[in-house]
Amino acid sequence: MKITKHVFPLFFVLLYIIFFGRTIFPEVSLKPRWVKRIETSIVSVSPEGNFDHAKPFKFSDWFGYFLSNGNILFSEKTLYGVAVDAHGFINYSSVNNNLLVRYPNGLINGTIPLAGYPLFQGGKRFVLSADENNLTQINMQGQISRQFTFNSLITGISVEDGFIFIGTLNEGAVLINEKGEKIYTFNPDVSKVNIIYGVSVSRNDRSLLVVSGIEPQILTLLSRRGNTYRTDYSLKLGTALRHHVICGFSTDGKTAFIERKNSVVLLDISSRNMVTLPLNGVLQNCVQDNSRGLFYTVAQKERESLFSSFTKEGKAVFSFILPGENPFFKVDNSSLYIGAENRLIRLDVVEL
Amino acid sequence: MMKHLVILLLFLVPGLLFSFQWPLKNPVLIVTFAEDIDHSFSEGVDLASSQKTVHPISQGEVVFYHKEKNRQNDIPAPLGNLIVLQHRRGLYSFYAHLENINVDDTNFLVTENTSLGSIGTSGISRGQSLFFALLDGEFDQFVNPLLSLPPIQDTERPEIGSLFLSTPHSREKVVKGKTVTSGTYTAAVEIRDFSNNVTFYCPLAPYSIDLYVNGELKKSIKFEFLTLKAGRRVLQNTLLSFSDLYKGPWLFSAGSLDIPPGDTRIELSVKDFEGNETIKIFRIKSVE
Repeated sequence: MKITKHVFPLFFVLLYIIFFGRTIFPEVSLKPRWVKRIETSIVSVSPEGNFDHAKPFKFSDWFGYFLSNGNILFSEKTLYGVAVDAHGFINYSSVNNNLLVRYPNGLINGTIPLAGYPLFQGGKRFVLSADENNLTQINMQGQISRQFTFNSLITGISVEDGFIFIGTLNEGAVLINEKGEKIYTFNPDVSKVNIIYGVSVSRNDRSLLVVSGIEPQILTLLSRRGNTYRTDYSLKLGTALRHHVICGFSTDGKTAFIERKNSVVLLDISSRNMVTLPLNGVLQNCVQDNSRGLFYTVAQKERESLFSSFTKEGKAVFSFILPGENPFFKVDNSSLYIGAENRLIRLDVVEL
Repeated sequence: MMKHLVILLLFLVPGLLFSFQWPLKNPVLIVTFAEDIDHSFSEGVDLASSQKTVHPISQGEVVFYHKEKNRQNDIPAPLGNLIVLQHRRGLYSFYAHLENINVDDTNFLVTENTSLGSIGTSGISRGQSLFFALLDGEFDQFVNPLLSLPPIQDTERPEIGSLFLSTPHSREKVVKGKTVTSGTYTAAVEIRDFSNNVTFYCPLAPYSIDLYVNGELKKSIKFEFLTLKAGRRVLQNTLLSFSDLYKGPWLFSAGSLDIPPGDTRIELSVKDFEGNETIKIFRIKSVE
């Protein structure tokens, strides 16, 4: 019964890979492992209800938790937006004065009496205020632990190892340590405007990445020197992006990636070599598979999502398209977990 | 005082030079500057209109925008579809909760006639309206947009309700003929402003509150600039934070008052932005 139920979705994925997949890197291929349709709310009970190894997902109008074997432990329709991590979620409506913090199994954990939208990132939880000037850090139960108020708009947030790096419209980019102290402020001053468009802090706060200004838009790479940070490298970027720019560091910390219009730039931090990965659409996500050293880009064009893989040198490995907006993409030990439209899929990257 | 005057002039003069226009035709003010919105200051104004198209207040350049349904790797967008324009170095205008956005990375130069989008309900919005704010990046403060925009035809005067005198342990409403004990109190007054171009019940915060005790000016609060001091958003001329100023719904703190034994005359003058003024006098008898 189960096999029959999954024949069509598996066939669908295989067709896409056969007709739209481009295998250029012959040593690697994708092996479909399972496909799950996410169409109804699911609340699993024990033993599947053990959420220890559960992975959160969100795509299209759905979010929830799954196991690597394909068991869906929990799924629920997104109200307006959802913040979800391994320890729970907040499924919120567009106008709210009270956010409900819930466990992965859906039970209520606490409430947050704040007007704003939640953001879960890097193992920390926050609420961005209605005016987008204030970031409130909350604990797992939703109790307020810290508040960071800025004079103007918060334009980017990066959280890693307890460090919070915040980009703003008019106050530069501010690095906050685990104690909640502002330890460094980056103030750009060479462009026509000094707005921060993208920020990223690397693991163990060794490096910072900032995309700032327009005419020119500048990428700045900073590294920690004692108690402060020094500019290691700065580069004028091409056509300025005037919205939040996705940027970050690879999991091994050796490469930085920066969103550009119709491309993603990979910057080797030690050699400063740059590689441009072509992008057909708007970047949604860029991640590195540390086990194989591959980079994955996820782009959206109209109502389709394009998944592509590249080597660090920029050689295309494979790419395929799936229907659906706001896709989900996660890489874990050479397994790709993909969510698009109403399907959650696992594909394994295997050597031929 | 001189500094405030210079800042005020800096906004009035460019306002005239740039001939700022309303971002909406036939604007109706439904939330005014520094009003209580979810227990924090409104950093701009909320406007409704029968006309849906949003225009820039003057020519400028799109320097930032974001969309309501952001990408998974973007931060959330409580302001919904948002456009930020720069008009001259450091002067930014914000247009939030738009239904749609008509500008992008390649279409970023705007004039007064450019359609930025339509008013909408995106993000945390209270009905179909436009949140509009002005940020002076040079002085790091939000500016009351009404300082730079053409006047609204409004002849309604603000309403002054009850006056309350509080100690850490009690709160008393000032009633004619009632005697209070002399001492130091915190005064709070009920104020609501109304605009005669709004047909529904829509109280607004005032533009200024002046409190006189026996003819002497004791407190003057002006809703002109919001800035950040020690991590708290405050009204620039008084350094009052939200919790310092708002003591309840439409209940504004008028500061500390020394009531000596005998008769005390408290005069409150409240103005809206169009200069409509209401004066109310409270007489207090006090004993030791």
